[in-house]
Amino acid sequence: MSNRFVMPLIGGLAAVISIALVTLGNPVNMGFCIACFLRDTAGALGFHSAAAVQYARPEIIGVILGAFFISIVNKEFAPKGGSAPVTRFFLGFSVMIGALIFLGCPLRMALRIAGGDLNAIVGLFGFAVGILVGVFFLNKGYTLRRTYDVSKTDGLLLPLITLTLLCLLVVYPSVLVFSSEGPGSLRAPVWAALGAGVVMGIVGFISRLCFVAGIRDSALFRDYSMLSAFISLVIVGVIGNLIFGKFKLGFEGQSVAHTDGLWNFLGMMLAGLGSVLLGGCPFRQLILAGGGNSDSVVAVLGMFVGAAFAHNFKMASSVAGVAENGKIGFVVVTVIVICIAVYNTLGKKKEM
Amino acid sequence: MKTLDACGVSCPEPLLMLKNAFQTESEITILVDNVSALENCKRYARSRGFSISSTTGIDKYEIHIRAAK
Repeated sequence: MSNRFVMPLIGGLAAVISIALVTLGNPVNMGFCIACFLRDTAGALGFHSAAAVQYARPEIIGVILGAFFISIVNKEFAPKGGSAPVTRFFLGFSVMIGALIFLGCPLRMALRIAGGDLNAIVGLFGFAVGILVGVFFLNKGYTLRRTYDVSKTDGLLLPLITLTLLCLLVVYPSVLVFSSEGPGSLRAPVWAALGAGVVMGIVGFISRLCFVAGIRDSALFRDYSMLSAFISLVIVGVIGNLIFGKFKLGFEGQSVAHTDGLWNFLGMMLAGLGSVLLGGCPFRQLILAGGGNSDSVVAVLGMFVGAAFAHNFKMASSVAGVAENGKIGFVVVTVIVICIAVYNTLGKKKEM
Repeated sequence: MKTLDACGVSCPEPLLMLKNAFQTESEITILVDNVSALENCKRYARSRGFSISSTTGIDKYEIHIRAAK
């Protein structure tokens, strides 16, 4: 089947899976969110102590293990790394700071739009602007330089750590910290969430699904296949939410969202820019990490630390609004991200 | 004919290399080292009606692309 039909089907599948997870217990408009779920997992492991957002999300475990499994089956498990790891760590960190100002990764932004949350439309505009700024740098020659083959163990460690986390979750959950109220307490059953994650991991690996590539590739190459997945996800999501009575059009009273338009815009702008500079959205980074790309493992670790940082230093937004520390953090992080983009655009010819 | 080495370069950079090279060339060989880049290069060429042929080496793919007249 040609890509023209496959990508919309995959976008639709992601919407169906997300709505199913909401029906089974996940927070509304948060059936799947890589940023939120990494943040919850960081909380479960004690990296932050925000009581409302702590849970070792099986969806994250599933995506990594699913991608790992299919990369082995398809003989594409070929660990690589060494392309500006510290820069990638910081870019992952910055994507998480932006996402937690907005309250969601690009995937959740699409799900929020599908749930009628108009704040996410504002976020989408910011996301597009961030991507277009990234595209400007790509067109000027931005690069984080080449990756190289690394030891197999480098690619095996994350799946192994993830498997250990799954064992803890199932066998010895008392060592983890779980929210008793707030979004972290709303969760689908472990096996459903894990299964959904595995399916998303497999499908994401095979299709190369990326929520930043839609707008990026449309602007760069007039390639609309990834954008079609994004649009399909929103359309199927709207239909699903209407069927299950979860569709609520408006700005006010949305699930795990705030109404500060400027910061919804800016948060997603930073997430979009950081994702383009990384080469993919948080979901894509997680998939690549599971498939043995150690640069993406570092980017995921950056997101993980970014989530802990955002809550430990009161930078993350909440339903009440945007935190003052978040605004300061945004400015500092954005300046550094722009410096990274400029340096790796102007300095590329020296080392390539 | 120009040869581009896109091994170890992550997407979308191989496609940008192709896009820039085709501004002056009509026939290009590009080397990539992962299936994702291989598929993306093929899709890029097909979407423009270019003719393609590819060969698989050890951990490397060589894609030969010729622009439509």
